[in-house]
Amino acid sequence: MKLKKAVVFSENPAAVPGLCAVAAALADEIVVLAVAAKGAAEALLPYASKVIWLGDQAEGSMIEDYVPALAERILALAPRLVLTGTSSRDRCISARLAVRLGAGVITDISGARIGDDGTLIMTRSVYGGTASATVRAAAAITVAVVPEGVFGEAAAGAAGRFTESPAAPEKNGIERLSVDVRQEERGNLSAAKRVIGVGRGLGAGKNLAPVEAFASKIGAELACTRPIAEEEALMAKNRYVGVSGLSIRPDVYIACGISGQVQHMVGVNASRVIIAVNKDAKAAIFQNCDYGIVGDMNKIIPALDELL
Amino acid sequence: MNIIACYKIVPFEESIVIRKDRSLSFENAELVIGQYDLNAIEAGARLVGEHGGELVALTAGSGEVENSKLRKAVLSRGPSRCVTVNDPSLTGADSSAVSAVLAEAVRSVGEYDLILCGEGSSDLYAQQVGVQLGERLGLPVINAVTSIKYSGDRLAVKRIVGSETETLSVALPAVISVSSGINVTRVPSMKDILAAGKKPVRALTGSDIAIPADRTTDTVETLAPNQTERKRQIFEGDGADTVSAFLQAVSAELR
Repeated sequence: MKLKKAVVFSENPAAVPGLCAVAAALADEIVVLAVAAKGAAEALLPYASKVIWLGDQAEGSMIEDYVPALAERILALAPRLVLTGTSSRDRCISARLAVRLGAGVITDISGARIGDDGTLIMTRSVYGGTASATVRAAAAITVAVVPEGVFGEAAAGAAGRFTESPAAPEKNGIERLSVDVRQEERGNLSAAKRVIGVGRGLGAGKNLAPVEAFASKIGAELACTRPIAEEEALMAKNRYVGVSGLSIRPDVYIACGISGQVQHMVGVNASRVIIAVNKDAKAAIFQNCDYGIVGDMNKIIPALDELL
Repeated sequence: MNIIACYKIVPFEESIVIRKDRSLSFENAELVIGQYDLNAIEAGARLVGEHGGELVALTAGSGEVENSKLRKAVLSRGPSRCVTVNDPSLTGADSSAVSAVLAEAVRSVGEYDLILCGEGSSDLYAQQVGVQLGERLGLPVINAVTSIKYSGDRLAVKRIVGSETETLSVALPAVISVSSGINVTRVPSMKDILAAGKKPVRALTGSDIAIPADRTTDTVETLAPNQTERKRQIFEGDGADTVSAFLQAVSAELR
């Protein structure tokens, strides 16, 4: 049995169809609240039962300034569930809404279902990815912060109704002075199809060059374990995978000189194929890979590079 | 400027033991100050160092908040005193409960201009408490802040949102969640650590502070993830024949 109603809101209209896919699995009626250009709000109609358009974002305002207006409309709709995205703005909005709605919040969910007793049950990663917690909603309203792509895309096909409910922004003592667009400083590891992970078996930093050469040959991004980033400082901190770091799901993950402790593996378990190179035949990684070779990564990788 | 920096005592995730049945054992887990909370304490220490005023550290939890070694570790990083809220019902408390308790507790701390929180706790990492706290207090509140400058009666803060960096002017008093990139945290000196032992601590309990009776969420179960079944075709040795046999096996995946 599904919930009666879910409300979806994101600062980014492009994230809304994905959120609606999750909402559709959990609730019969999906109401989208939109603060956006009218065309962008109308484009969401195929994903929802109803789109309530609060108007385009006012000049000089921040989207966060619409929290009071959003809260007022959500309270009137009285849904069991409110879904939003994981951007910093959506997170800020989710927390402020939760207080105004008297709601519980479950963030970064990895799964969601309705329990036999009709309660909402969600899973999320805790302790830096060491474990997954199953959390039951206990308040009248629950706000869920939902990562993109975890639940797939929504099917367009609903015939939503469009209603207008003009709202004004309400500042809370914060003025935006300026905005700069930043340069993205890293390759997108989370989206990479192939990733080579480097662990302590690397030894000295000079051994990194052949691995980089091999990575560029097979079109792979480089990642590492926590010690390589934090203790050895051989690679950037935003490249370490596992507990408290990134979780990746490439097509092929090649673990080089990585022992395969749980703390690293939680970040790569979703890879389609895991290939391991490690000189210790007893390394845990060999229990948890598809193909493994027992040997020194600093000999194997150049040899592979030559053979491919 | 008077500042309150909030922190949480958490189990160090690398020291959590995973049992055969995938449940977690915290028996031998080492307790630490939340990694991201250290950034909040550091940001507060730097602002007070530059502009004067007092930095007070505030935490809410159960027995772990009384850990004297960790309290000293917090006080060695700049705060002049520490306020702890200890109530057994706060074991595993969710963000709604923690932010509600902190909102009550700040009244016991005294006058403040700014409350700083880390982006999230390093155990549950809901990234909610700072913003919820600000909203409960009805104050200007913002997250993802990467720098803070104090001028006049306002703050100029930078905030990273997606591919944008925005500069905001924030009226005081305010509540700010700082991102981990805001600073590199200090390593306290032996002198700082010795001095920390003499700094005052105010220990509050559920009889001083209203603790919410109802939970908004219940954690039913916490388990390590299931490992995916793998093929486990293992080749032994780094000789040319073995490498080429290995390559043969993986070539379909790599070409």
